[in-house]
Amino acid sequence: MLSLPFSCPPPKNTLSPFQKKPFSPSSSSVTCDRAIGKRNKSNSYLSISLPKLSKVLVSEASNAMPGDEEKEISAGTMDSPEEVELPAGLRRELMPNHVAVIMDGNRRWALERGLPVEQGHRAGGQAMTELTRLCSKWGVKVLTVFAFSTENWIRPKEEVDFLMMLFEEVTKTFSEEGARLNFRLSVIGDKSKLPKSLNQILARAEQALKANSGLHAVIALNYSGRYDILQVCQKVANHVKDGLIQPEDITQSMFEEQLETTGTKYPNPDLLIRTSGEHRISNFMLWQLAYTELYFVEKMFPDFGETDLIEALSSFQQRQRRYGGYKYSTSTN
Amino acid sequence: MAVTEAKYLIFLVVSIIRSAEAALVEMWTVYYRQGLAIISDYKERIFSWYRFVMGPDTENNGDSVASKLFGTLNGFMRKFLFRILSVGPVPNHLAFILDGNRRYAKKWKLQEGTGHKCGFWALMSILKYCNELGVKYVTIYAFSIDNFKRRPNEVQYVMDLMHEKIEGLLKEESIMNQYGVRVYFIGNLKLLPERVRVVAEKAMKATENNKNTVLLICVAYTSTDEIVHAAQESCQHEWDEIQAMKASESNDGGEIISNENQEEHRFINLVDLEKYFYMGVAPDVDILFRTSGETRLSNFLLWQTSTCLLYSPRALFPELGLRHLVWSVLNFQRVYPYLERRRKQV
Repeated sequence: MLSLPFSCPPPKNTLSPFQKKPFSPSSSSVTCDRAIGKRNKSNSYLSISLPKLSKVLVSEASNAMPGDEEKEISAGTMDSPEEVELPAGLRRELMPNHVAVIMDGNRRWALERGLPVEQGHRAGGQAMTELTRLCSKWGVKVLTVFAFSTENWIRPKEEVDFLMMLFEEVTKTFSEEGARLNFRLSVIGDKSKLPKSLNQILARAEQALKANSGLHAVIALNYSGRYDILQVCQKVANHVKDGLIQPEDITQSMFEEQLETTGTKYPNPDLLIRTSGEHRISNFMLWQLAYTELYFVEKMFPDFGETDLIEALSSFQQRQRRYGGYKYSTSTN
Repeated sequence: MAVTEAKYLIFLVVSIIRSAEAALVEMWTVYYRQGLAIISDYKERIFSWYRFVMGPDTENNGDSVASKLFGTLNGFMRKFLFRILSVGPVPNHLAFILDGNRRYAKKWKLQEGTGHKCGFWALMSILKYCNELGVKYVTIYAFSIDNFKRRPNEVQYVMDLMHEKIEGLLKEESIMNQYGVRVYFIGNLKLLPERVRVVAEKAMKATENNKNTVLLICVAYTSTDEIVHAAQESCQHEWDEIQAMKASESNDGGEIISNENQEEHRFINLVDLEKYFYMGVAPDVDILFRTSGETRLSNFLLWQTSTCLLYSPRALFPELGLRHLVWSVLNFQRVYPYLERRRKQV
């Protein structure tokens, strides 16, 4: 249909690079204006590293195709991940299987702009849904988000009530999208302290999306890493007390099976992203983060968009993971 | 006229100071650093801690006047800097992941094991700075259980180095006692070779009366192993208690009471678990350093670093210096009020 000045043939089913959209509650379609996005995208790629420039030029050339074809493809149901082209610089085989996100900085984002704190949380919710969509597109299998910690109960009551209501809303929209986009949902954490209505909505959403096979979204509500490890110890202690096992039979694998995250195929995160510039774990998934690559972003979570996710993923892909052993290759990082 | 003479005088004084400075730098370069960088063949000695690695057996040891003067001046300025830092809150417990020794050796084209030696000397200077700053607990990640997977000769080299250094520590017991440093070896010591374990236990016993600073050396340690071990110990303890109760009740015949007591002993709580951690002797970590720019925990102190500051400078471990320590303490002081508030509320 088109002849390009470059020697490489254009790939099939090329979608345009994903654009950074302004936040709006009703945004649901994938495609949007290309003109502004393309320029922004190439600038952000240049800021990542020069060797990727050649790839950027190739992808720009292949995006010279008109928009009708892409609109037809993407307006319908979600493509399977194999057909979606990754942004330039990312390699499919090095994509992390499990990404965890600590969504920090909503309140500070709102205060910086003179908005009420609730607005900050809402913007965070939208950023989270956008993040879920992007991760699903690019082949991430499990996404865990730290929505509410056991230590967040000390916040003012109005804020906590608002957050519970926001979780209900977000779960409802998520289950609708999930049915369309093939997501699954799980919730980890101590559900007994959450309001009953929220528990019911979460249970219904989990049940409805149970059969899907796409991205598995795990929401950590009233969760803390220490609580997780402690509840495993208590379970194991009960087994010992009932005489089912001996204390010396307790092994690491038995421990891991009892953790709250065993429901997923990839229980341990490969990449942890924390926004708002704080360099802390803040009691999130302590056991599971043993070999996770940590990535810290200075921006607040509502500002965390596609370009930031691409930077995080490309940083992950350049890391050398040795797990305490020895990499016998001669490459230096 | 007076102005011109004053100018001349100032010029004279300044040129004397400058020549004195140039002479000092020249002396320092020649005696302290083994020669001028431009013409020397031993470039790695100029730019690294190599000369300290070779020990006091080298011909040009640094005991000349120039190096002593330089050392004293350095120490004085450092103490002054630490006095300023101590105005704010000073961290109580620092933890270090000693990463990058092999890359350092490769970078400066040294022999493979020398990187670890350079790392050891960098560690000694870091410990000195921590002592001067007033940090009470210092933990270092010397050897992980995962590191046993490395090449056997490398594992053997590290074990030999540890054995040599711990024996050296035992010999200089007087210095350790003078500074009041208590040493703990944290981890699953049964996995170490026999001679290393024996000498480690001797070192722990020799320094057990010191109270000033505590040095925790993690060998054959992973955090997951520590947690499983703590769970095993606390379950074992509970089990033994239940058995003891049953034995005493079978003597007394009080069956109803035993059921109630069993219900009470049903749950392990946080305090019980933390008691059985290897790291139970120290409070939670305030700052965790990981050198060489990698940002991961590698199964180190997962439980104890849940709310601590993580700092990963790009420098390799032998290159870690005072400026990294100062920068991390400043960052700690920035977030300290927020963390303290949260700790009090929770």
